Amino acid sequence: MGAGKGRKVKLRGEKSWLRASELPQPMPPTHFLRIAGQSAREVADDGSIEGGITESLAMMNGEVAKSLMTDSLVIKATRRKNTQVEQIALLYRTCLSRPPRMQDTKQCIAALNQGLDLGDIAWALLNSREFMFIQ
Amino acid sequence: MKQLLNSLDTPTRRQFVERCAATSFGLSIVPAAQLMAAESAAQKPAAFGKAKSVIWLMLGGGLSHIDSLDPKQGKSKGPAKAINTSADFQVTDFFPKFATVADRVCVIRSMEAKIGVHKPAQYYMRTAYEPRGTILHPNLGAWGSHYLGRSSKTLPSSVCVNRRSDQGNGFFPSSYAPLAIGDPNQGISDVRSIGDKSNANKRLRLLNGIDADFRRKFNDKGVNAYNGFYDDALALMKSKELKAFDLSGESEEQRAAYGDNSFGQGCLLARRLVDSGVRFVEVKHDGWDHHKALADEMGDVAPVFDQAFATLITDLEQRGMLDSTLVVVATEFGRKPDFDGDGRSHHPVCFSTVLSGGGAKAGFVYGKSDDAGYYVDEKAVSIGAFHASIAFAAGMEIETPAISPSGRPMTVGDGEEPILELFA
Repeated sequence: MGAGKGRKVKLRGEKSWLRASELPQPMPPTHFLRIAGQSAREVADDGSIEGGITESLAMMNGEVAKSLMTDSLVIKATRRKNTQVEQIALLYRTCLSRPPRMQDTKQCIAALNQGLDLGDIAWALLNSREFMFIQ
Repeated sequence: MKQLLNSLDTPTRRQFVERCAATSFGLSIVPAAQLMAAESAAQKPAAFGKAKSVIWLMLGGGLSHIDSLDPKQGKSKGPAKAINTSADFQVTDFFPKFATVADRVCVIRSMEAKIGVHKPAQYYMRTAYEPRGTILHPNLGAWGSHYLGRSSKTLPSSVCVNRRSDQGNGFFPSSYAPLAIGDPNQGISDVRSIGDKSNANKRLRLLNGIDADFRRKFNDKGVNAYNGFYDDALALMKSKELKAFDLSGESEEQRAAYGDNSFGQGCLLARRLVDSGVRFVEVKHDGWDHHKALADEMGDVAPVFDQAFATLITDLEQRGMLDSTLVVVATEFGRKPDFDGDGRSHHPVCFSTVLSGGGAKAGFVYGKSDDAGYYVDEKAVSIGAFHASIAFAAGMEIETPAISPSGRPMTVGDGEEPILELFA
């Protein structure tokens, strides 16, 4: 999700995909980074690594999840693959840094056949405890 | 008896007498002792449990007691002058609106602590325990959930505004952690699922399916806590009382009266939440760390606090909620009587806090600092006793300790007693 070469860099915007280290600090209080524990920088040593309901809501329903599902690089790249198996494998390697196991692929294909799309699979991977704790 | 003899600990005097009586006369004083305990619970003072909810206003940084609630003359005096209030004590002219509601508040001028570093001091003020490497301690919202159960069926029992949910549940389950509201004007965000409902449910089933192996394999505290956050988040998304989080339900006048800023609107949100059944709400106000340009910076933040606080007290009173709502003003520490340039440094050994409503005495000052405002002169109040007093007002039976997951008995306020003199 890096800002590509020549792409206009927006600061302070919700939708500028920059590395956290390249964004101004602190971001506004409702920004994803703040919800995930970034310090308000009013006093020293104020960051946090604890989770919470607000963070889960943002992960499930927030801007980051929405963008990931629709216009992210990973979704664009996935769509270029020819078969469902290849598409699922690319999503797994991108989100979880591992190939899918047989039962993972099966469940994902079943979901696609039930009317979900690749974005929904990316959503499920982003919200998995595996992503949260291993990535 | 055998167990008692085998134990390495010396028996207590009560155990000894009890065993002697049992051995010699076949008597047991246990039923009598239980009866005594039950009687003492029945005879709790009238203020016990009067506060059905607590609004905790947390001033981030350290509120300079000398420039606000505990004005001094002579060398310690700051840029503000002392003014009379509606009660028979003075505050500085940084707090003119506070002065008009002073007859409804109890100021404690003898807070005494020992941590002068921001993050640990915040932890200490929120939990009444010094940070340790081996355990996390709960805040009063989590203690409330422990002793009194859930305060609402669908809303969380504990909410914090303008801050994250850390320093919350401590060693208690993560379900006791506060719900964090980053910006009161936006209320609670991201409560609507993406796309249509049937897809959202399918997506959730897919998530639980592909993640099941991982959750089984790593069935540990951290992973389970996140499972809990997701469960609570999903429950909240379905709650019918979500409108309590939406300030657009208030009139323009009401919103303006609290002040057009995140602290003022946070106080208004706190009043709405308390009215809807949330037991404990913290509203944080940052910007009180006045190492430099104290006069200017107090001039920026004090009016924000002053207006919101006075409006909150009046609003609660007009709605008949002040008796059942305890409003607390807490901070990290005070500030030094001596100036360092044009600001003051951290000063934990003497500072001031406020209680109002919820059975607290009105128009009352508890404790006294010395003439310089450097040390506590009379009736020192530890952070533990401060917590025990608030827990007492909220009706928590704090004599019964909670057992931490590692088996240690833990109490509200680290074993300190409530100060009954603070209550009417």
